This record gives sequence, C-alpha cells and structure tokens, in this order.
Amino acid sequence: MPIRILVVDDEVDVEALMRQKFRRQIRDGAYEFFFAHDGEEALEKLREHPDVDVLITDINMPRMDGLTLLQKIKEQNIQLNAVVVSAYGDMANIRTAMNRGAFDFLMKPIDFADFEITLAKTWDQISKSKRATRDQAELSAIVHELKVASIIQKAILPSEYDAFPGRHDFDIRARNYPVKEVSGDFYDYFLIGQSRLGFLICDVSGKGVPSALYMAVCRTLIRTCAEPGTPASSTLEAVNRKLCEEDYASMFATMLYGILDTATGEVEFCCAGHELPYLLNASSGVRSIPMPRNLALGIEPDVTFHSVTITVHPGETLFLYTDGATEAQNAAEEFYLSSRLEEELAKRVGLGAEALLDGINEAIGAFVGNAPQSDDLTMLALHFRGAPASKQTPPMTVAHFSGVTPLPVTIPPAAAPTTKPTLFRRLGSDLAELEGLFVDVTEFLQQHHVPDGTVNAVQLVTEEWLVNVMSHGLEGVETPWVEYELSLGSGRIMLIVRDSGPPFDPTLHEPCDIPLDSDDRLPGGLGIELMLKMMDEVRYQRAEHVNALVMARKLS
Amino acid sequence: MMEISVTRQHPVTVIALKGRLDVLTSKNLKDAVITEIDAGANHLVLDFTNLEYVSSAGLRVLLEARKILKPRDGSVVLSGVQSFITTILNSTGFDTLFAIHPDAPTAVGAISG
Repeated sequence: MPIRILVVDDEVDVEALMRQKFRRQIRDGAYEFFFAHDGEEALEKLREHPDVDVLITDINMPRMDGLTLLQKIKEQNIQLNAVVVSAYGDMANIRTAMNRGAFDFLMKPIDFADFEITLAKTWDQISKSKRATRDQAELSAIVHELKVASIIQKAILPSEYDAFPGRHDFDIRARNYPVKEVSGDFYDYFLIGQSRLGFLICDVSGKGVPSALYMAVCRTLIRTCAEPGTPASSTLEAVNRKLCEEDYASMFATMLYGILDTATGEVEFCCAGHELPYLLNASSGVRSIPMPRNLALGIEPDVTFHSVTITVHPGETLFLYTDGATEAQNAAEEFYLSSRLEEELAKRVGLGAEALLDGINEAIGAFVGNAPQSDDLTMLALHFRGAPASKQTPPMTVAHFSGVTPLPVTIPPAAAPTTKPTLFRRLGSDLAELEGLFVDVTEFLQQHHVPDGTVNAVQLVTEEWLVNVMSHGLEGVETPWVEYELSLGSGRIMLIVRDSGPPFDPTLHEPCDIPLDSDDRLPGGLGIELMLKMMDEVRYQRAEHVNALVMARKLS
Repeated sequence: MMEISVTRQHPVTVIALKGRLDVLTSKNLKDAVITEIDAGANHLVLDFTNLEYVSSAGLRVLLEARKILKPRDGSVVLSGVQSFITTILNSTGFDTLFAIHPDAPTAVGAISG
C-alpha cells in the first residue's frame, strides 16, 4: 500500500517538481501524490480521496489558507497527519498550525532529504496509530469471546443449586468462583444408573483459557469413562491414560472423585493428588477422610490408582474443595489454611449443603477482605439423607448405620507399587548430603546403561534444584526435608522432588536478560534456567503444604 | 570430586581441573583462583580437558574471576572444553564471555603472543 500524500500549494510548478523528484518512489508504488492549489480545492480532493494519509500544506494561499484548512480538517474530523510548510522563522504561524493539529512542519525552500525524513516519521506515526486501533479492536473481541466462554463453561457444569429436584435421599450443591473469566477448577455430579451418584471436584494446573480448555477435556473424559459398575479407581486410571496419550502442553489436574451408593451410603473415593475431603457429623464434628493421594492426572500414563470406601450415615455431609480455599490470601498475604477451614466447618456441622457452602464462602470472604482473589475457588457439599423411609431398608444396612465412627475400610500403601527401576532418597537441608546422592545417581543411571551426556544432564538438574531447595527453600523451615525420586520407564527418565518448604514454582521463572557479568544479575536464576533447559517437561504441584516438582527427559 | 593442578608461566597461570566442578568443589577452584591472582597472575587459563561436569556453582566462579581480572586488563580463558560442558556454556551464553581454545598451550600462546 503506497503512502497517499496530498500536497497543497498555490505555486503551479510544485506538482511537476514533486513528480520529478519522487518519480522512483511513485513508480515503485511507495508514494501516491494528489495536488491542490488552495484550501478549498484540498477539501474537495479529500472528499474524493478519503484515504489520504498525509497532508503537506503551504500556509499563504488564495481562497482558503493553510491554517483555515487545518481548522476545517479538525472540524470535519478527517483522520490524517498534516505537515505545514512555512517561511523560515515564521514561528507564529507554525505554532497556530501545531495547535490546530499539524503533526510537523517543513521550512521553505523545501529540502527534499528533510521532506523524506518527515514523511517517514509521519508514516511511522500513522502505522503506530493504525496498529493501536487494530489491537484495541482485537482486544475487545477477545474480551467478548471470554465472556461467551464463561457462559458456555457455566452451562456445561450442572446447576450449583438443586440439580436433582426429584431426589430426597441426598442433596448436592457446589460453588465455583474463578479468578479470571473462565475457570480451571470445576465440579461435576451425575447419576450412574438410579442408585449411584458420581461427584467430583478438580483443579487444573494454571488459570485462564488453557486451563478452561483442559478442564473441558477432563470433564468429557470422566463422563465418558464413568460407566455403571466401573470403580472410581478404574475410571481415573482410564481418564489419566487418555490425558497422557495427548500432549496437552504440560498441563495436569488434581481430582477427587467419589461414587455414592445412595441405598447404602457407601462412598468409594479416589484421589488424584487432590486435597482430601471432610466428613461433617453433628455429634462427632469434622474429620478429614484419610486416603491414598495417588499422582495427579495427566503426568504418568501407567499409574495404578488406589481408592478407599467409607460409609456416610444419614445426616452427615461430605465437603470437597480446591486449594483456592486453603490458599486464599488476605492483604497481609497470610493463607487461609486448613486449620481455619476446619474451624469454620465445625461451626456448621448441622447445616444443609446450601447453607454450609454459603457460610464457608462468607467466612473465606471475611478473611480475604479487600485483597484480590489469588486462585480459582471451588467447593462441593454432599448432604446424605438416606433411603426414603417408605422403601424397605434391609436390616443389615440399619446395623451399618449404628453411629460407629466411619473408618476407611481399606487403605492400600500410599505409593503405587511399581516395577520401574527407582532410586529414592530422603535428605535434610545439609548440602554435604549431596555428595553421596551424586554418586548414587551416577551409579544408578550407569547400571541402567543411560548414556553419559544424559547422566550429566540429570546430575545437573539434581544439583541445581536440590541446592536451590536446600539452601533457599528450606531456610527457617521447622522440619526441613527433601524427597528425591529418580525412575526410568516408558522411554524416559522421571525425576520427582518433594520438599517441605514454602510454595515456589520454578516453572514461573522468567529467562533473565540482564547481562551475565552484571552486578544486578540475581545469583539463583542461572541454575534454574539451566535446569529447565535440560528437561523436556517440568511441572510444579503444591498440595498439603508440600512442593512437588515432576521432571521428565526422553531417553533417546 | 575435583583435582586442581596449577602451572605458573608469569603473567599467565594455567589451572587444570579434573573431575566435577559442582556446588561441592567450586569453593576449591575459587580459592585457587584467588591465590593465583594474589600471587600476580593477570591471565588465567582454565583447562577443562579432564573436566567432565560443570554446574551453575562452577560457572559463578568463572564470572567472579573475570570480574576481578577485567578491570586490570587481565583475562580468563578456557581450554579443552568437553562436549557436555560446551552445551552448558552455549546455553547460558558463557561462550560469549570467555574465549575458548582447543588446548592449554594454544591458550597461553594466544595470550602471550
């Protein structure tokens, strides 16, 4: 697209001069000239060619002078960049022209080199403002799309309120408060046949649109895999395998999935790295339900998930939540923590699902105050009333409901049994412990014929991350510990490091562009940059006050 | 584990490293570098021919040495860098801060010549 220039001058030979001077640019399509001999003719030309970009105008002209022309252009709101040509030293006119919106000025006689510079500068200004207008338009389109996405997302989740109006044997409610327009958290509940209720709460890594898309995938997969007769653990194994089959840009999700047998009150829970649920009982209060944590979904394809089965008695309520509750922060950056959550739950043990959720939300809101919400918050409450009295209840079930504190029936070992070669070490915060670990890592990898280059890379990641955790992350921590787990399998090396330090996500580390030899350069950044470069995947998770960094490198 | 051997060829000192330059051994290199600079070395050749591994702790010693010697018109150069360490130097941009020579005699020659 050529730059369209309208030159206004009463001297008749200007046109010939310009066409001669810029013949090359005109031929190449860089400039397109229009000419007028006074202000009135210029306005006519502008009506004929409304797409003129630059106006170059003389000041003294018959019929309508240049300053009046500028005034008219301003009044008629014609969008272009004007440059005035004035006699040397004519500051009064130049100032008036600038006040009327001229972008720049040129002195007579026109120096053509200067003319071209001015034109380039003007063009630059035009491009910038065009770009800004376009960006603005794109931005409003995105904002609009996000609003639509938010509506769609809300629509695919079941009602937060009375989702099963015909059912009197249980009452299930949820609340979802995203930080951004769309949420990475979600909840879901659905009937599996007539006597089973599937319910879940899920927290996808990250926030915003990517998380929301991943959330939609998770939700579809679980609805597809949750068939009658399939245990919760097998459902999550299937969902996990599907998630691992595709490369979803290093995303993962923690999930707590339960299946309630509405006739007996039995609930099979399967936890994929999620916060554990609470059971509320009017007489015995609030208790966390212990169960194997398993690994989050979307990290390792061949994981066996272990579940636990408990019995919920009529009148009891299950409470599920995402870390948006316990990690809600107030203005002093204090966390809400599970201790506060438990206190507030205890005050509300006798309430129904609806009142419980609203009460907890209010309590968290009161704690957070005016501080901005830091993470998506989702809560789910399932109040069990039991089978309707009209139905014949088998006597065995009555005995089952005899007020004994519910205890998990089976708790399999926390770590999934594995046949993968694994090196596991637990360390404190003393760097001297690393010497033994480095030797063990080398031996372990060499035993399994891992090539030297890869051994060095794993050593580097081990060193950089453990030094960071031990010398910074665990500083002042009451019981400092680090768990190091290195394993080989599925054609890759997996490294999982857990520690008891405060939250720190190295994947949020931004590459530093301060020169390496500058005094302003932070000492820690280099190691993390190196570490991230050595691995194909690095994912960070925080749960139950423990940092977990999961890293993988393909074995070529 | 790292072994250090020092050869003084005034005003150049060659510090040859063998083994691993990591968080546990970088202190030893730092001490050797300071000793040599205090003894009047203005140019350091760090010979990596037998060095297998380097981490950010080791890289930091390189930067510190360079920071001391640069204002004195001195220099720090590397020689005999092995493949893993080359990757590390390239991916951190250290290859733009330190001249790298194929071996120690070439490095000494380049400085003296």
